[in-house]
Amino acid sequence: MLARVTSHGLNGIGGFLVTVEADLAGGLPAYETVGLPDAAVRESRDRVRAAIKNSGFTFPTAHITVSLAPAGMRKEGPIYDLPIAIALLAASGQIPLEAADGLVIFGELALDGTVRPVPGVLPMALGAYASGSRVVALPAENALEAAYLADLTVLPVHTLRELVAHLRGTERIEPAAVQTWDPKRIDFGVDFSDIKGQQGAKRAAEIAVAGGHNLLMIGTPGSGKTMLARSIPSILPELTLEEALEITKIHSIVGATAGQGVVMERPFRSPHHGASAPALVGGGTHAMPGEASLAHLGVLFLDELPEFQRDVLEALRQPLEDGVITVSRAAATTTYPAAFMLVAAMNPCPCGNRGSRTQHCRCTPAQVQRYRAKISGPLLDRIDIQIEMPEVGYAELSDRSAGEPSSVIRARVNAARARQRARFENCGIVCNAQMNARQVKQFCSPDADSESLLRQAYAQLKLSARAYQRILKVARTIADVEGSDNIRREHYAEAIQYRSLDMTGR
Amino acid sequence: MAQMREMDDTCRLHLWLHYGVSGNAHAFRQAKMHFPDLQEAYRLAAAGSRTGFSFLSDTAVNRLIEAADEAFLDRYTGWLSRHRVGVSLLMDEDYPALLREISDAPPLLFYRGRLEPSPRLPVAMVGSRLCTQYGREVAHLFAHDLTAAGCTIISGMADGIDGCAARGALSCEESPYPTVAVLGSGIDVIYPSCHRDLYEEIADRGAVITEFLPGTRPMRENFPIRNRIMSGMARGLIVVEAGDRSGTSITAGYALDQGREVFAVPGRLTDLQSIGTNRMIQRGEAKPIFCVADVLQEFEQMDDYDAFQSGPKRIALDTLSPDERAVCSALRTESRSFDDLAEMLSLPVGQLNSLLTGMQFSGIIKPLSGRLYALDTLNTVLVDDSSANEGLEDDLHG
Repeated sequence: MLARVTSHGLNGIGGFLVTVEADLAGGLPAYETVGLPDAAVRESRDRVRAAIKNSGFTFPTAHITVSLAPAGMRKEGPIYDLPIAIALLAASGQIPLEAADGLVIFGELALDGTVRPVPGVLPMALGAYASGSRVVALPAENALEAAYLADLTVLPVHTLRELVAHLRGTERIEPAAVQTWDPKRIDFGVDFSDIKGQQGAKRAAEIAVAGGHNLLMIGTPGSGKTMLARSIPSILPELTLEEALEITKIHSIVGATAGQGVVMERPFRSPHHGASAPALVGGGTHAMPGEASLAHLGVLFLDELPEFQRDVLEALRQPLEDGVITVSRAAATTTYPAAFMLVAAMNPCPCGNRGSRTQHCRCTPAQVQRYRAKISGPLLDRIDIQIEMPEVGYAELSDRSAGEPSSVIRARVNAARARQRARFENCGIVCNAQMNARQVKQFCSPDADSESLLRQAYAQLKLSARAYQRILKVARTIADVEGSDNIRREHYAEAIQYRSLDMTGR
Repeated sequence: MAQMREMDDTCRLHLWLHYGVSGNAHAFRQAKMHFPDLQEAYRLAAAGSRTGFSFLSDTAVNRLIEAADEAFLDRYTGWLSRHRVGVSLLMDEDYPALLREISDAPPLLFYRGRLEPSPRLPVAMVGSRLCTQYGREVAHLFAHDLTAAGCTIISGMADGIDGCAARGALSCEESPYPTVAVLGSGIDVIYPSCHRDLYEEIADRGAVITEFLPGTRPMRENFPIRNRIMSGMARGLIVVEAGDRSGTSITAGYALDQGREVFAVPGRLTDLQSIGTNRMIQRGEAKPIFCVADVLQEFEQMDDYDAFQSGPKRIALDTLSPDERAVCSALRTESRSFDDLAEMLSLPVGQLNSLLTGMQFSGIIKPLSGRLYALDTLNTVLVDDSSANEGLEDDLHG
């Protein structure tokens, strides 16, 4: 007897339908799994055997062949336990043969027949939906993750016995309730009003977020760089469902979403400076996503930027430019999205005291130069806003005004983003940071008054042509934040202040 | 590049002796005294004879014998000309005239660039390697203005004051001979290595010189030896910043012994880097200077000074906007951080940013490391109203 069940496989954040076939033939009892199974798939035999037996069904005694089609794609992980068990039960006549038609099944089995959660549920559910399936049966613990897809019926399965009963028609599994998207008030932990002083840096962060610019903060230890970075997600524009699903897809692959459902807040990733290049951009035998992809649509915070290995930083250049990362490994080549906002922090010098009024810096100019030279020009060129953070004295801590809460700033950010979206409607970009040279020329042409200011800046600060472009882009964002259609002289003047490294000498 | 002098026999013999005594000026002079005709000494050494060299150390004698070989000297001179290194002997015409006067003048100088035997007014500028922002600015400004008035700045190309002085001199584009750097290492050893561009620029427009053998590392003990050349080449020595009992003070001591004028830039009592200079002023070893004119006056070169007269420009306070005036008064006593200013002026951050950019470009303020701002007093003097200009000028220079 032959039975067919549909399941799903993962390949990066995309997937492919997998047809699980089970054939029972005469001869000596045996069990073969074909279709490029990895060790976890091959071991499913033992889990399936025990689960079927312990659920009160009969494991067929025959020459069993389980085939996972398409045979040319690698099948990884324990997600095929449940479909194989169903296929075997169907092939041995314990379930009607057509009962599982039109149903996509995946899930890992425990020996007692309960269904365990698996990684990658959302991308698989989306993939199943895209290839025409409208009903999926998946581990109950993962159900919330797939429950935001309105047209997809999700059957949360707790045990093998439950699913078999459903397929036999004796008991029904209630489909999971479709969730409506409500970006509920998330508590970010840190609010902008918690940061005392540092008005200048907060303004820079607001502009960076409003225009999608990357941000580099330079400051003495304890000046609040990390705290500011952590509070940036609280002023990022609210998540839309599409964005949330996209983030969840990536997080789902690495198994970070089990039991939580869809990711509700923008990610904030802060890898340690000892991180390797594969950890940051992705890698491993199965080309898994790295920190940069996990920060997709959120913030990638690199503290102590010069302490990162140079090749690690250089690896970030592709995602910074294209918003995607291509990971190539022997087993797979995968492209992951990685459109993050880079927020980096560094000390002004190796000892950290340069520019401090209370501590004495003992670094020689050569040491400072070497320290700063660790960040390559091409990387620095992709960071539009560089800001120095003054040290925070006792006065600031005790009686500095707190400033605006994140919600107020976020409202301004949203308005500025809306202006940008309207402006770039037919340009294929969404924010100022993404403008290319031609678009900068089109949207940021300075008037005569501003032109003279920029010429002065160009000469006095010895700006490069790239730095000049960046000033124009940032000025465009400042005008957007201020709600002005034209970029005025003061907007350019403010933008020039965000070239700290050019200003006080590299 | 410099026109290379033919490596004649005299020069080869001097190079040989200089190599033998490892560049030691004292031993070199002794040898010259014993052998008025160096050819004689060379013949002895080439024959392997040690007699007659008893006044030298064994090492020196060994080196002399080893180097008394035409093939070796060919290689040596070949290397020098390949690296465009010139050699100037004490009796040569291009040897710095002032330097020849000092008691322990180096018998031989290696140089890159062009040697000017008597530049119009050579002034040495020295100071601490770990210097303050103040020191850097003063060094740069004074060096530039002195060069503009026709001086040549002599410095040691070290980190800190020396480097700033050299850059300040080079920033005066019209000067035909802006600066000379005296190294404490071999001519081919650039120390600190980050000054490679500075080295090349000095060699291009002035000269880089040293008395040390090629390849000599920049050892601690070399620097006092080098410093006597710096003060020896100059008519005056300006000390910009010096810590207590620093190497810079040693140089000042040489300068006094050599009968050179010594000037010191006064600093704040609380700055570690100014203890040395302030003490020198107190002990009467150095004359305090407040502006370039003070130096030029000493050498009676004031005519030139009047001719160029750069000095800080004067801006009357009442021509500034109220906001700009508020920034100025906030910065009058000390530098302040961006956030201090934002708090004191209660201006929106964006507006303050653009205000500061404007003031920075008009030269009223300058940004410092750590998002601090200060009045750019070297560039601009703020006066209460325009009629007060004359009086202020007198106060500064009178």
